[in-house]
Amino acid sequence: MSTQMLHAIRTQVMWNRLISVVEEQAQALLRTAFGSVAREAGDLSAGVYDTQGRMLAQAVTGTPGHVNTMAVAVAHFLQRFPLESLTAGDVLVTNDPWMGTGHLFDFVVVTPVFMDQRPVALFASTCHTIDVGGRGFTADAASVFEEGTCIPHLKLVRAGALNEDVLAIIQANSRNPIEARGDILSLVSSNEVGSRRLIEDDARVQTRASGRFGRAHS
Amino acid sequence: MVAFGGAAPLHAGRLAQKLGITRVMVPAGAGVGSAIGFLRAPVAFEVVRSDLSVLLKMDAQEVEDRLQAMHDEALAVVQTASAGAALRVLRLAELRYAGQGHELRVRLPPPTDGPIVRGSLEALVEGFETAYEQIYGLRIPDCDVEVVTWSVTVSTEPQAAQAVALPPSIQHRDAVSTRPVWEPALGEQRPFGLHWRFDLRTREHITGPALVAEDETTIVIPAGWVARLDEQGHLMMEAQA
Repeated sequence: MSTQMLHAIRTQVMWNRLISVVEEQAQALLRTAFGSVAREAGDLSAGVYDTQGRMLAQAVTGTPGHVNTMAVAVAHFLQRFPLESLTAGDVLVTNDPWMGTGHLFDFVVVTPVFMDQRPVALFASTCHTIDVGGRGFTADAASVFEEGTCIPHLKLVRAGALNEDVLAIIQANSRNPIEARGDILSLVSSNEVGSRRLIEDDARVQTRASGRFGRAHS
Repeated sequence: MVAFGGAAPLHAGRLAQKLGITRVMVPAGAGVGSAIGFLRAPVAFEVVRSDLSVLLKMDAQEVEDRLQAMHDEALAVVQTASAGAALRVLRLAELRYAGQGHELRVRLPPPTDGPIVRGSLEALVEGFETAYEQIYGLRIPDCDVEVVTWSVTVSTEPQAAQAVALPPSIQHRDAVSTRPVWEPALGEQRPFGLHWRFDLRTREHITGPALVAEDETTIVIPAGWVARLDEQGHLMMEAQA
C-alpha cells in the first residue's frame, strides 16, 4: 500500500475520531440536560474549535439552527477573553443573541482545552433553555429588552470554581429556574466530556508530525 | 482475528492477508455462535418496578419491603430452571437529578449485606453523584436525586472462560477432494483442497489453499496458510512465514 494511501486512511481515521468526540459531547448534553427542549427535542449543538476560534468539527446530533451561528460565536468570545488570558478550568458563557446563537434562550458555553499548560482547542456547546424571563417564548416583544435576561460574555467557571452568582441571576429571572440552572451546568458537562476525550485521543495518537489541533496550518 | 457468524469464515483469511494479520481463529460452531451463547448463558430473571420519587424522601423500610418482594418474584422464576445451582442477586436503582430526563444505573449492596436503612439511601445518592461526576465531569450542587426505576436480577453464576491449549501438529491431513475456487488475487480459478470440519482431529494440520466445510459455514484457508484445531475444537489458521 502506498504511503499516500496510508496517509489518506490515517486522515480519515483521525477525522472519524474527531466526529465521535464531538458526538459524545452532544450526547452528554442530551443526557444531562434538564429542559425538555434540549433533552427531548434535541435543540442543541456541540463542536470543537481551533485556537483561533474556527470550528473544526460539529456533532451529528443537534440542530442546524444554531450550529451555524455557533460556528462564529467562539471567535467573539476570544475577542472578549483572549486565549492568553484563560487558564485550565475556565469556562465562558453568554446568551447574547448577537454574540451567541441568535436568541436569548440559547446559552453558549465555551471551554478551552489545555495540554502541557498550552491551549490547544476549544469546545463550545449550546442549548435552548426553557425560560429566561421577559415575555417568554412569544413574538410579542417590541424589543430585545422585553425578550428576557441577557448574560454578556462572562466567566462562568474560574479555574475550576463555579460562579454561582451568574447562575443566581439567571435563576431569579427565569420562570423555570431549576431547568435554567441545570441546562447551563449540563453545557459545562458536555464540554468537559469532549475535552477529556480529545486529551485521551491525543495521548493515544501522539500526533507527532504536525503538532496538535489548530496548529497544523496556522 | 476471530471470525464468527456464517459469512466471516469465508472472508476472514483474505481480509487478514490484506491487513497483515497472521493468525485467525474460527471458533467451533462459528455459524451458530448466538445460539450457543444463549444456551450457555446464566439462567436469569429481572424484575423491574418504576416509581418516580425523591430518594431521600422515601421510607427505607418501604424500599426494603419492595426489593424483597421483587427478589422473591425473580427467585421463583429462576428456581424453575437453575437446578439447584448457586445464585447471585444484582440490585440496581436508576437515578437522576430531579428535572433531568436520563438516568444512571447505580448498584445497591447485595441483600446479604443487611436490610435497606436510611444510610443505604444516602450511600445510593453518593454512589450516583460519584458516577455522575466520573462520567459528566461535575456534580450539580443542591439538587435532589430522584429514583425512576428499581431492578432486581437473580441469576446463576456465569461460567468462567478457560484457557485452551493449541497442541503442535504431528500429522498432515490430506484433502478428501479438490474444488475449483475463484482466487481474486490471481484473477483465476484454482483447485482448493476440500475438508469436512468434523473429520479434523487435534494434532493434525491442513495446508491452504483449502476449504473446511461444516454445517453452518465454510472456512477458506488461503494459500500459504496452515490450520489446526485446539483442544476444544476451535480452528486456528496461521500464515506461514
